[in-house]
Amino acid sequence: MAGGFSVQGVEIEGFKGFTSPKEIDFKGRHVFLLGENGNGKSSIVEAVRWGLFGSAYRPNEVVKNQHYAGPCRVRIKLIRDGEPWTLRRTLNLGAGSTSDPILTDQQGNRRNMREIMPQLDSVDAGEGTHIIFAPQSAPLRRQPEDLNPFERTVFNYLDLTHPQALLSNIEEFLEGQADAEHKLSDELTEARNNIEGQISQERTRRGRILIDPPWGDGPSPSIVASEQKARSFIEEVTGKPIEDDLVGLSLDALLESAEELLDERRTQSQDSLESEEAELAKWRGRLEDFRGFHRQVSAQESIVKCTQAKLDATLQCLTPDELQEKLEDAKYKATTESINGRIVQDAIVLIGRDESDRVPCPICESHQDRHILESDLQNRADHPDNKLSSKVAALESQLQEYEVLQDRLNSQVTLLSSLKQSCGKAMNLIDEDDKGKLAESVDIDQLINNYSEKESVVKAQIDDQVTWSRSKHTQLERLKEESWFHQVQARLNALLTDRRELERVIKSYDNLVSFGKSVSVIREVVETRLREQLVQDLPRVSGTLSKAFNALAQHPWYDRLKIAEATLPKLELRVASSQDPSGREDPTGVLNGQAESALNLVPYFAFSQSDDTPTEVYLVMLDDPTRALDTGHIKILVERLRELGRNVQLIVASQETERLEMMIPDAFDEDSYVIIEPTGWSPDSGPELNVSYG
Amino acid sequence: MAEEKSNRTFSVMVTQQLNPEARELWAPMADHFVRGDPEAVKTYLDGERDRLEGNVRSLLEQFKGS
Repeated sequence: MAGGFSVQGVEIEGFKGFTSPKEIDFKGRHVFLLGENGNGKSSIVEAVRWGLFGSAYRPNEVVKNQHYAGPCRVRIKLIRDGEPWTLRRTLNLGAGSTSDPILTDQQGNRRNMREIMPQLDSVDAGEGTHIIFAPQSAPLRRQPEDLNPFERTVFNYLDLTHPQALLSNIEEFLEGQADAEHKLSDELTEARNNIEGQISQERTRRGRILIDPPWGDGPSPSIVASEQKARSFIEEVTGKPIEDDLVGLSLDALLESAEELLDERRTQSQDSLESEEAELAKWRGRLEDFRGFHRQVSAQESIVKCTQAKLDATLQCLTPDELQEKLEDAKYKATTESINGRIVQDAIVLIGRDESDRVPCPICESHQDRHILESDLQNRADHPDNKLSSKVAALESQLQEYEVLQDRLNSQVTLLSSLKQSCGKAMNLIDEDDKGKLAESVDIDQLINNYSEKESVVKAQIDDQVTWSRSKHTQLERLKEESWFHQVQARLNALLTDRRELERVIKSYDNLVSFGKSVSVIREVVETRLREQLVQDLPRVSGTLSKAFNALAQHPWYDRLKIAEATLPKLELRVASSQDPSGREDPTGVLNGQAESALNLVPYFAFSQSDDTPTEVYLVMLDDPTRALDTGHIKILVERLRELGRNVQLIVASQETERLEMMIPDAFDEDSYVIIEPTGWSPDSGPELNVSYG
Repeated sequence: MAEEKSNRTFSVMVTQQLNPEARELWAPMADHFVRGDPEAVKTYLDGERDRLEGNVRSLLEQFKGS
């Protein structure tokens, strides 16, 4: 420990398992912390480490005791060249895990840490200091840096810490560079795809227009020419020079005005003609209605006249009453004739009862020859007078026909009356001039024809107007398409300008990529150079490692440790045997538990005891180095620790209380060590410690 | 001093193997490295990248805004 510091003791308050302030006097000796896990052994080792370097073992590790309201503080008493120094470190509450160290000399004067203890300025093993930690539980206690403790130790031993850190920093930078390039590349690709898509879209639109250009043959017109066309169009539509308020308007605005003016004109001209046409149709229609009714009246009058004539013919110059009386008279006579017939029949029967030749006539009571009378009566009975019944039938038929005709005539007269009424109404609806002309016996058909001819003229005018309007609309649509072409062209030009702008961005991005490539080149060279340096030094390192491994493991076959060249500058250990003529190298996983545990300790022993080490080791802290070791190997470890302890101060934590308590007194001078056994822990007082000196 | 000398030797050997473009970039990195501050190398590189990335982003924002 010549020329260096040794740790005299430590006072711990509010750190990890410690609550109220507790001072532990090491007396500058080797420290063996023995006991079960969970009682505070590791807290003491870590308190010394934190006191010296101010960094927790794990990232985001909470070092402050959560049960203790006081500060989190560690005070380390140091001795250098016989002079006492005090290093006090206090955790800044509420400021993450930062802490401030205060170094004071024996007079209590505050001294500059960097000036007095430059080797303690950083966590990494600086010049003259080697702090070594054995991982108590590797998966949980991984180092925050990308190097494992073994690699850090070897790089430090070979004085290649800075080149390795350089390489590590460049690689870390390149990861960030790749992310930055990737993000920007994505954005630029999206922007480029977007703009190319829009350009393609506008070109397609322009291509569609150019298949049938709205301006006809020849080159596309300038926007000024298109505006002039629009103004001329407006003048054609309005039929007068363009108004002042339309001068200076854009093409779009001009076309909008043109459409409004065209609609306005169409509305005015066409509506007027259509209205005129409707008016003519109305008067013509009314005349036609009147003519229709008039014709119906005439026809109906003829029908009535015809029916009346038939009726007159049926009555045969009789009145209906006379016809009825004649029928009654005929019926009476026919009835009398019927009765006479029955009397003749009765007379024939009566004569038949009388057998006389001369018999009285039952009708006239005169006696007549029987046969003659019978013959006469029989003749009368056989030939009744049928004319009377026929006359009755004829009269009845005549009367019936009269009644039918009279009904028909009544209906026809009613209809005629109605038609005459409608005709009068229709007459009232026709134009007064037309009434006058009709009164002057002008032919109604002529009047109707006059209207029809006028309507035809108006319709022709409407058709002309519609044709003109359609033509103008077509012309306007072409002008709009021309305007659309100018818009597409303008957008296309703007997009092409944007694309040139994007090219500038991409060029700027290329500078970033080029910068990254240059850094990659540097990384390659640095890595190559570091690898070359490592290859050059590896035999020496492997020899030192093998020596320590043999001493600790005493493995019957594997007696060589090598660092694989293939993975450089990543340092990977391989084991080999000097008895193997093939010189094969195996991964360290082939070792048994004892040898593997020993292997974990190799770097600390190898580089701290090496004669040619360029660094000076003051303090070695080992947390649980005896894990998984059997008694034989623990014995070997203690022997190696004894040798190590000749030059450096040891702080060793182990669960192997019984075996180490037996071995330590045999290996170390009694005034060279202190054994500290945590015996219990309480939330109020923290760990209970049993401290015994030699 | 021994450390600086060792770093300088390393830096010179790296310089010799670089192309002119990378050598130009390496020069300021080498200064930090030789002084024993590899962290500053990353700080320097991060700064350069931020500057270049800033240029791209600025132009990209202008482009998007246009």
